Amino acid sequence: MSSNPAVIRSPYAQPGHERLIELCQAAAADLPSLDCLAYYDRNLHAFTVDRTGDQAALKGYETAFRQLVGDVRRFDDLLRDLGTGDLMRTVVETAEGAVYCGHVFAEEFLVGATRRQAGVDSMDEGVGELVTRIRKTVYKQADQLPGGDREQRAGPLDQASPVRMTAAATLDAELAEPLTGLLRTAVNTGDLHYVALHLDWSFAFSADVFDQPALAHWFKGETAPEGRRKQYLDVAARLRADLPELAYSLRLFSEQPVRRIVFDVVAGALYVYPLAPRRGFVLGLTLHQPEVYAAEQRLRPVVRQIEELLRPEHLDR
Amino acid sequence: MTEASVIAFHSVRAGVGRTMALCNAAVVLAAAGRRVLVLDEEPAAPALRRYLSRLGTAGAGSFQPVHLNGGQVDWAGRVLSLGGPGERLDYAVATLAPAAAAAQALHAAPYDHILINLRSGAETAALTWVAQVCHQIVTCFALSPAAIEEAQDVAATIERQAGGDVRVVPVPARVDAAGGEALEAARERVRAAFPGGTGVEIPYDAGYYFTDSLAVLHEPPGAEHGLRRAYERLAETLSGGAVTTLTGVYVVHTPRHQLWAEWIGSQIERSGVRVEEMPIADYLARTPVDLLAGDAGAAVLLVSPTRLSAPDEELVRQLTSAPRHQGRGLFTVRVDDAPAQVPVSALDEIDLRAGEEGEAVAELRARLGISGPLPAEAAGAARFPRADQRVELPARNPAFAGRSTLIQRLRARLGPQWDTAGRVLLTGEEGHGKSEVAAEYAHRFLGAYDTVHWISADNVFKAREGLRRLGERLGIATGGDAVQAVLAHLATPRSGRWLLVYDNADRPEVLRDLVPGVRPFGHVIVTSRTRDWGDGYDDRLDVTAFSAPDAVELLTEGDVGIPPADADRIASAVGRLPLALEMARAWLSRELNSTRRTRRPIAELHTATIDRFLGAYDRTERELRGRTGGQFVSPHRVMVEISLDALRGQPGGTGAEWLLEACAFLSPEGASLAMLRSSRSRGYVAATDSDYADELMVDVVLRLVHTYALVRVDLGRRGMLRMHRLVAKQLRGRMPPAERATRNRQVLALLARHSPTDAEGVENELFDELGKHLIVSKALESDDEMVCRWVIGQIRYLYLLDDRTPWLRAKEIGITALRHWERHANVPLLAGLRMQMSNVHRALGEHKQAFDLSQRALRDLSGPQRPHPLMYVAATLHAADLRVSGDYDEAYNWDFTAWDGLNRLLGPDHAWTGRAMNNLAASASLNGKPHLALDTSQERIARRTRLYGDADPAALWTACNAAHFMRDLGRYDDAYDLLKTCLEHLAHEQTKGGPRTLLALRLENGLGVTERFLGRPFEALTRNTEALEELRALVGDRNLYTMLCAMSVAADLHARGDHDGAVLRSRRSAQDIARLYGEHPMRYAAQVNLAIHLRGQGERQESEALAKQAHEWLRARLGTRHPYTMAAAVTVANGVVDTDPDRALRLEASVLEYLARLFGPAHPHTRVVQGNHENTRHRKVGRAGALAAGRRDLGIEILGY
Repeated sequence: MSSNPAVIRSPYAQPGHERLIELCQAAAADLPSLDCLAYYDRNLHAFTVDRTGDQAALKGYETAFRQLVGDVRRFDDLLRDLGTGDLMRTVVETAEGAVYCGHVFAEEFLVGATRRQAGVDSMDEGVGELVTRIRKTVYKQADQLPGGDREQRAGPLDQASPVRMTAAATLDAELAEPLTGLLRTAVNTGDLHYVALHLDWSFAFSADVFDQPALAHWFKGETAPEGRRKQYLDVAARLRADLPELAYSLRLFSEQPVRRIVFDVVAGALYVYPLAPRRGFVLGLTLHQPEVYAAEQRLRPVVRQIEELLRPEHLDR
Repeated sequence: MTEASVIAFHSVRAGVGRTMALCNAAVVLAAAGRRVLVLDEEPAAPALRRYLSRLGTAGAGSFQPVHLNGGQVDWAGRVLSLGGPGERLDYAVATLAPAAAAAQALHAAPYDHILINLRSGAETAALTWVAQVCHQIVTCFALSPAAIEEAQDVAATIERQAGGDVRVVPVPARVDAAGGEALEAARERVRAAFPGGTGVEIPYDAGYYFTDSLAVLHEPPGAEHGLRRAYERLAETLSGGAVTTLTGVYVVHTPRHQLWAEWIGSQIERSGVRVEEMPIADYLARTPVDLLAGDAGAAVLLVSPTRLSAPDEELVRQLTSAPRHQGRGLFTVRVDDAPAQVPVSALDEIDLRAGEEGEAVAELRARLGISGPLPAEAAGAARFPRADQRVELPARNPAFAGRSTLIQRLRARLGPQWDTAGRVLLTGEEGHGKSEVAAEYAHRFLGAYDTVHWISADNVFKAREGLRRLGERLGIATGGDAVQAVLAHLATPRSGRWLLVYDNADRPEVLRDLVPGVRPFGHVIVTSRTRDWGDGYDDRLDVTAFSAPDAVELLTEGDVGIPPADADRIASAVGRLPLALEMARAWLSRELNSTRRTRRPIAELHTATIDRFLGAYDRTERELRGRTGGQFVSPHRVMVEISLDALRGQPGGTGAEWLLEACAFLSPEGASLAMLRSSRSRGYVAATDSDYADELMVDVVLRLVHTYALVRVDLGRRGMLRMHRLVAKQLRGRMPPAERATRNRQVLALLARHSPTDAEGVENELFDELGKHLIVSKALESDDEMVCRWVIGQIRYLYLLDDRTPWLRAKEIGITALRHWERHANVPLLAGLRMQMSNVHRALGEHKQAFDLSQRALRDLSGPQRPHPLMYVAATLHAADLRVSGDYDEAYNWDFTAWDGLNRLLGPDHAWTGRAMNNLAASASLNGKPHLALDTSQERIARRTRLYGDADPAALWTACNAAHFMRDLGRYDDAYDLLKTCLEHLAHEQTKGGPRTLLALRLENGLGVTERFLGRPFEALTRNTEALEELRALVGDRNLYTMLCAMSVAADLHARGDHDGAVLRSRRSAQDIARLYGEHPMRYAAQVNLAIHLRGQGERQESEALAKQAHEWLRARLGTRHPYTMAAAVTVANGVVDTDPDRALRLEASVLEYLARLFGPAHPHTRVVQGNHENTRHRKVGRAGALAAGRRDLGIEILGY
């Protein structure tokens, strides 16, 4: 791995990226977990800051990241209907590493990547900070707190908040029961507001606190809780087709199955955790931007437990 | 009304041919226009009715008998048609009334001839009746001494009874010509018995005794011997010579009517009559038939009494005074509506000015008295000159004169019989009139051809374009290369009779491979300044300066009409050069007919004008010579100067000079009057000359330059102004350099103003016009932005014509323009040019060049800060090149960028955004995004149909892909419904029964594939096979759509169990794709299909090897999760399931996982792999029933884009 990040300018690049290159180079130098940063302007690759020195691989990454930017824009269209603002941070993680696609300003996106599993979190945090720095220093825009407040930790659960559980009619009772128990202890009004399980292209189970007064300001008028639940079902339906396509977009970066996706919007984030058994996935949600980090910390063990519940040996038990 | 001639046919004994003689004679008389009644006195005997039934009228025997009792007889309703118009024969069964009453009835009957068939025998009563009623009796007898004696007795009895009022016609019958001395002896006996005999005898022909055929209907006319000839002589005898046999026809014609003469001659010859054709002048010299003295057997047809030259007129006057006979003598034949120059009586005239070919033939035969069979015309027979045809020719020069001999020689070289070399080279110097001669020939013999096409051939692109246009006119399927299709078509009899003129082909290499063979029915004329053309062009005619008589003819004919001696002086002055002579003639005509001339007698005016012309010519030549240091000055140069001088000061004169100088920078093929007179032109030129502000003044200017023959202005729907290249050269040469440059610039500006902004818009055909002027006007060298945009539009227009010829032309234009434009480096324009060129290279299969050009354009355009739609258009083109190169990832990226940018700048409904959306859908599908592909394509269809309706071609094209995407997603019923609906929409636009368009065939192919997926392989095979045949004809074998359709057919055959057929086609398709695309995903996708089909055929080893190779390649290029790779993996698994079940399991598990995520568990492919996977597991553990037959493959349907 090269220690001095190299800059590769695209033959299609427009002039005027010098300040951005400086900021990216500086960030890359300070972020060991980062393998490369690629900047995209109006869907055109502008430049790459590279720490790998592997030109052949890098070419593939640039192509994959460019597709990712396109996919992120489509996801942005999908999520905007939820009324929680633009998609500003997207993280896709596989067993080989992760990619961060951040919306900088207007039609500009910054993609950072690491090929080390251990470097995923620091890369995520570092690229998020870089995006914020560019927004502030170059475009004089406010900090959108991508990734939430990392100082926040998942606090104690508000046990008083009833969690609404919904199970598909076809769901086995032996699965519904442990899911209910599991999610009752995870979903709350403080951070993780919604968790849903989808199996074999169908809805299976969900838990949410949308009816709680603490979240009432998010569900006014047409976006009443029931309407929002339906919207998340629709999003999930779209995602089951879009996720494999997103995975294909990134295959030149990693052909391993996607195991985590974060769609970080202005107000909160949507987490997608594909599951190995029954081609399922877990959908998690927080509506509070500062709690984006904390909510995911709460979700992760839940996902592991759901996966465990779905293993045949568990069900056979 | 004259009395009917009543003729009895009698024989003492039966079986001598009496009835046969009567019928044949009756038919000959009737065919000559005589009103003939056949009376059957012996209705019990069937022979007469049988013979008459040969005339084609059934039920002759059912007529009720007529009673000749002296009263009025109703003769109506007894007609037997002879076939031709007006040719009829009446038939009746008669009961013989007492002689007086019968004579009264018969003599008053409305006939020229009444032929009565008497019973055989020699009863006195019957002979007495004949003697009292008939005018003639034909007595038929064999040549035995006894029969001759019996006939002699009958004759004697008749003469005795009638007292010499009845003529006895002895007719020896069944005469065996091989009788030798015995026959001669018998004839001598007949002559002795009948001293006044006619010599008519009926030969023996066994054939007629076994059939009921009538010789006069069965045998062609014109033979000297035979039964027909004998019966014709009999009819001639019975009619007193009024009905004679035609022995020959002379078709005498004016130069302009040679073609009609050829056709008339061929029709008469077809009837078996000898024909000779000749020009009037030859007839005068040879006088083969002295009509004044009378030649009973020959007819002379004069075609036509119009458009006669002065010497011919006198001859014709003589001829028309000759006596006329039925079926012979002189006829004038009218074929056009020009006024006849000699007196023509209706009696002597055959009028062919109206009616169809069949009517004209019947009229000719009727008027010449030709009857008998009319054999079918052989292929390539002379063509009815008025029949429908396809013609693309320059307008005829109404002032064309002279050159008769040359054109006759040309016709003789080409010939009406198609047995000559068929290819003539007309060579000569510039301005000698080669093109004029070729054009006059083509117009004069226009009717001889089903297709006449004029091709400018001064460069290969024009020659190819000419052929392409011919293909368009012929409406033939082009197979992707109209030129090759046309050349192949012309070599087949179904092309009919055709003439191609390649004009101005000065470089033989231009026409290499572009001239069709002339067999079976083609003629080719090439005009060229080059004399030596090598093999295949041995037949050459030199077009030289006019001969003295031709030159004089030009100056003495028509409205000039100056005396021959003066004409000769003028012709000598201008070197008898045709173009210079035409200009001189125009000058004289203008001056002689000028309203400004002083009043004086004609002769005096002629003299003064001629002197003035010669003086001006001499003075101008001296001046010009002085300016060039005494060098030779061409007569053309002098004439241009004189003509320009003459038009100065005339109304429109200033504008005329500007127009002429401008036209010197336009194509010699001509400039459209619509363009020259358009408001855009007038608006521009008005700043230079105020006359141009006024539309009618522009017409005055056009008229002025036309009357001086400086240009030819042909009015009409496709009005055209043409300037001879020699005149243009003189005009350009006389302008000072600065003025020349200015005029050139002005012309370019004027042309560029007509360039449509959209090559696909309603005005796009203007590019046809503009394209002609591109080189001459030096548009490719211009750095004017408007001109550059025109050039780019021109290339795009040519690209969109979807044929190899315009693509080659576009490439040539682009390369030349690029060479010039790179110097001035206007980035957007250069990029625009490169983009259009990339399209053209791609269409020509030159993928590397296309890729480089689109990439370069994209790089140049992506730099500037200001976003411009052109950059995104460049992105779509580059994406296309990336798809062609197999880089689906980058193609998708650029297509997304293009769609996103265009959507933002131009909106979602703009045409370019729509195209980008269509392309994005294709790229998404190829790039493993089937859901996005379908969503995008459906949005595009919805937007287009909302704006342009359900039958919008762009929407239907996208629907082809959308149906493909639906099939990818397993929505077969939806795909079927969509394609059916599209075909219904298209059916309204498509000509019923006409050839189907590429779009229709693509939809059909898609439907066929869908039917196979729906489990209907029989319907699929039928549909795809038909589509494949049509695709081959329409776009050729090397077109991707054809290859894909061929693969569909292979898959259909596989599905039906015809594995040999499937492998055969599949292998060919795979090879074709590999040859065309090289290392490409499509190649390996096709290889996967071949592997599947090979396994079906039992070729497991080859199948496995191909599948593994394809899988490896696809996995490396497209990744494991691409549908192509997954299909390959399933094929490999199916191949190794017995030998390496663990590998099969791994492959299937991986594919199943991703298929289920991508398409869902219910998708047909998921279920197939699920089934295979279970099958493999069962086989592995040896579970019974897990047979190989239960396994299935995932064939790949390659997306055409």
